[in-house]
Amino acid sequence: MTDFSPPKAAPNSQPAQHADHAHSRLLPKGTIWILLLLSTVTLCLALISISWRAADLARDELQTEITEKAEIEARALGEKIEKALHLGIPLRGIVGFESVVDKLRDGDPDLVFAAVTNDQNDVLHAGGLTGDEIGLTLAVATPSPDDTPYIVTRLALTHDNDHEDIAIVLGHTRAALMRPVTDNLFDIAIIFIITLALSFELMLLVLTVNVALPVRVARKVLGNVRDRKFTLLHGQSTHDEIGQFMERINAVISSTAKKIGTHPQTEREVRLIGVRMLAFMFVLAEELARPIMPSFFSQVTSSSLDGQLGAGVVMAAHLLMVALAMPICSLFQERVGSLRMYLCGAFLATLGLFGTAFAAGIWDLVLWRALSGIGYATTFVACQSYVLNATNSSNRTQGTAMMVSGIMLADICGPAIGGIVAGHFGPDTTFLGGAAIASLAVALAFFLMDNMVRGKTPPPIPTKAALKAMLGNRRLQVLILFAAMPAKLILSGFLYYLTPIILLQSGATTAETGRVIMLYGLVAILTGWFIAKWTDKSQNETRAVGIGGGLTAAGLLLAGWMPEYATFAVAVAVLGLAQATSIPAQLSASLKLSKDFTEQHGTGPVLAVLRLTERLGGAIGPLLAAGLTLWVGTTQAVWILGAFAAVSVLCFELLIGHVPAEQKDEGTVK
Amino acid sequence: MKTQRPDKGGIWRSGGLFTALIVLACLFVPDANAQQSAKEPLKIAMILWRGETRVEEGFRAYFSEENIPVELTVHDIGRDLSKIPGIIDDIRNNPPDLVYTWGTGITSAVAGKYNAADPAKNITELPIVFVMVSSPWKTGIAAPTGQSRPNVTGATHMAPLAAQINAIRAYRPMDKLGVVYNSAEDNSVSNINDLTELGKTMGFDVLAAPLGTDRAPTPDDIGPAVASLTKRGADILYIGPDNFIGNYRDILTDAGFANGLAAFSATELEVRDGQAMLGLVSRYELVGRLAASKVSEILIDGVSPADIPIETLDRFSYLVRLSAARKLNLYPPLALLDYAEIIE
Repeated sequence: MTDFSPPKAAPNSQPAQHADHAHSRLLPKGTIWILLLLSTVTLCLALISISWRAADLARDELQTEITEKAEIEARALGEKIEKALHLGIPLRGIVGFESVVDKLRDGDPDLVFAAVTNDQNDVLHAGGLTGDEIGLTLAVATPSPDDTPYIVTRLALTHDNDHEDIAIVLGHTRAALMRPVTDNLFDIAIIFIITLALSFELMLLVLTVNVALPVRVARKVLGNVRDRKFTLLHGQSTHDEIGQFMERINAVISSTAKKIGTHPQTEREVRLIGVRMLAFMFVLAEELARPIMPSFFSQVTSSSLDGQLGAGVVMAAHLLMVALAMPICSLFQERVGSLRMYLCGAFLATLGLFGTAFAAGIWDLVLWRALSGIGYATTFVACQSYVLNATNSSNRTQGTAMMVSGIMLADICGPAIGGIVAGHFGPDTTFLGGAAIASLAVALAFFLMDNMVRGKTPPPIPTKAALKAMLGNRRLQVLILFAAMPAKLILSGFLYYLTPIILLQSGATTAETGRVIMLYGLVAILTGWFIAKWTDKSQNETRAVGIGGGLTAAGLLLAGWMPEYATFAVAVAVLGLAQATSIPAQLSASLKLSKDFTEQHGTGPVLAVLRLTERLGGAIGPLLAAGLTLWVGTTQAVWILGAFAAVSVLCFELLIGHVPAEQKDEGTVK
Repeated sequence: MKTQRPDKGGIWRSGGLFTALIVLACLFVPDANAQQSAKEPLKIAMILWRGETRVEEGFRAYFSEENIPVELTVHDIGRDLSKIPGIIDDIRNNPPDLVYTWGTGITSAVAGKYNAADPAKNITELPIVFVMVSSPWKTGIAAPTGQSRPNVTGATHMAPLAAQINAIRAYRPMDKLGVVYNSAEDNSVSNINDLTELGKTMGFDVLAAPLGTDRAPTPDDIGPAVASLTKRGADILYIGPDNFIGNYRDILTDAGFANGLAAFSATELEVRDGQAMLGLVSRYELVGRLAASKVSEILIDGVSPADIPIETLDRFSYLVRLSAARKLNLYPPLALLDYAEIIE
């Protein structure tokens, strides 16, 4: 899972503005909504018809299953009654029938009532409903069983001591016939949303590559012709009508250019949309197993280390690799190129996820996760540099927003669908699924990434004196130590480590756990745009950082106070809101606080330091959470992390306004 | 010069030799029980309250099944504690290997309190294993936690009080627990105090009807006490570890029938041989076997009684006397029939 800030901008650019614009473009305008509506309606119609048919086919089979279940329950009740009668307890003297039925209902939510009746259909003992209510139901059910809201099952017992014929009657709700649908309603909804998101992504990709880009280039070429220049040829090749039409235009332009003695150049645009899909895929590959990571890692490492600590170590190793690999990869990006870098990263991620699925102990698991971490960092840097290199100041915000939205979508979809997959097929299959997606990304990268996109010049490296001056900036120190680092530490410690462990331990399924983790991304994406607008309007980023920290502390303390499923869902949603408030504001605040430095040396070093510290905080998170879990238990660990968040935000608020601002340094760019 | 290495056959042969040695060792080293059987029988002096019960049946059965010869000398005090000093003198004159005591009264008199044992009056020189002491710690027979008595250990028989209350409530609702008891018996008084304390957390009142507050109790006192408890709204009668009530249990349960009150017992005999309607009890036979295992540890394995914990069984039996239920028209709930032992 990634943060919700846009990727690091190139040095000397204005990423804060980009970030703002990126947020403002997260809600697209115009025809794209029609596209979304079309996708939704088509998909809904298809799914509804398939579901309806499937439910219809399953109904008969379910009816048989319910009848069988009812007969087993009736026999169990009948045996108790017969035992009582055998002991000489008179039929009407039997007590406690209602509590036995209640117990039965605890294990079968579809069972509404049970009764003991005689041959006159008189209710002698009743449970679930009153005797009168059951009597009325039976009066209707006897001649026409389909006219009652219950599926009535009757089991005749031999007879009691007084030779009175008796029967056990059970009533199950007819809603039980829809149980497979209602039980999996959330899963169905999640699959629906994700299918919708994927189909939307695909539609967007196909339409952009096949329609939008060729048309845009065609417009440019035709405009050139209109101006009688004949210097541009359409280079956005497609095999459809647009392509065929533009081929003819190209032929006309070529012959005309020949006549007037000019040499037309091929015009084409970089397929920036592809990076959205690629960013989506590499994050999805990693996020798929998010809900089961701590429990799976605990299980694998339990033989050599205490399971909880083992999971913390493995997760920390992965995040540490991400933190360290990102700046290193940035150094090589210009030489290697985005495509090759992405291919390397996706290959490493595939290898790491594949190995994780078959890991047998702590050491190989750490190795596989470290590989995954390097792969993740490499693909991230590849996508980020691709966007920065393929765009100019006019379309950089759009490119950044594209990548961020791909990542966000994967953050939302990954844990939710991964939880369902893990619940049905097990954790190793989930990791294998991630590996399959990463390997698919390798194949797709050839088509979706343009190899011609390369960085031109390496970023300028500031002098040691300049860096020293930046790192000596007290306010920046406060921001990094008490806001940026704790934010990521808590995110990885609480959301990645403690939340899955606590929810699964409390009996939640992996699908339910995935849904809760999904809330983080969902709330962040839904609120991010409005919060960014508010932050821009108020121009008080440090206040937003403080509010974000306060919300984080409140969420965690709430979860620690009432460690229940619903409370955790609220806490995770609050964390999403908090991070959406705090993280973009941290970025802007860091640049504002080191304004003198960035004027001379650009924003790159500031952002690099901020990101590196954040990610190191992220690596410490699971380790700290695991240690706390061992020491005081999971719930207390949440409390302590909440208290840590509260202390951090308090220190931030107290110190940010009271430490001196940065001093101008005399360092120069080499 | 060639180095000789053992060939496969050599290894096999040495393996065969090793196996043969083990077999021989097994043949010639008899087990501890067989060794014991070849020796003198264990001499155990049993001091009993009212003759042998199923506890002693279990005690004997254990040694018989383990093939351990024992020579049991039974001293039955016939419910008369004044006989104890004479029995102690007899024991001293002809000392056994171990003394077995039955019940709180006898054990207190024979072993004394952990911090006030008198070597002249109490047995301190021989190991003592007790049975049927309901509260060994409350009555001072056992030393408090963290301390031990050098010569005393035993098996208790009472289910935890909270489990007893839950057992009553599994049968029928109970807010007021009626208890008729002998105020002269320490274990009864201690039990009433514990029940009263427990009532505060489990939400019930203890309606106590003490007997013998101004004079020695008589069986005639029981009926009026039960009637008074009925008037005060008791839901059920509780029979705890009380020797007097144990002796006259039928009078108590009959008085209960007359007043429409069922009786719950914490000890087996009151349900199995008496007319108490229900009970959560340790089976006497198993208590006897548990005590016998402790005797075996002391006399055969040589473990000091101080190192053997005083224990109760970890499982209890839920007994229901159906004839009593029928008299009161209070049949057991269906769910109970799954696990209760029904006695006709």
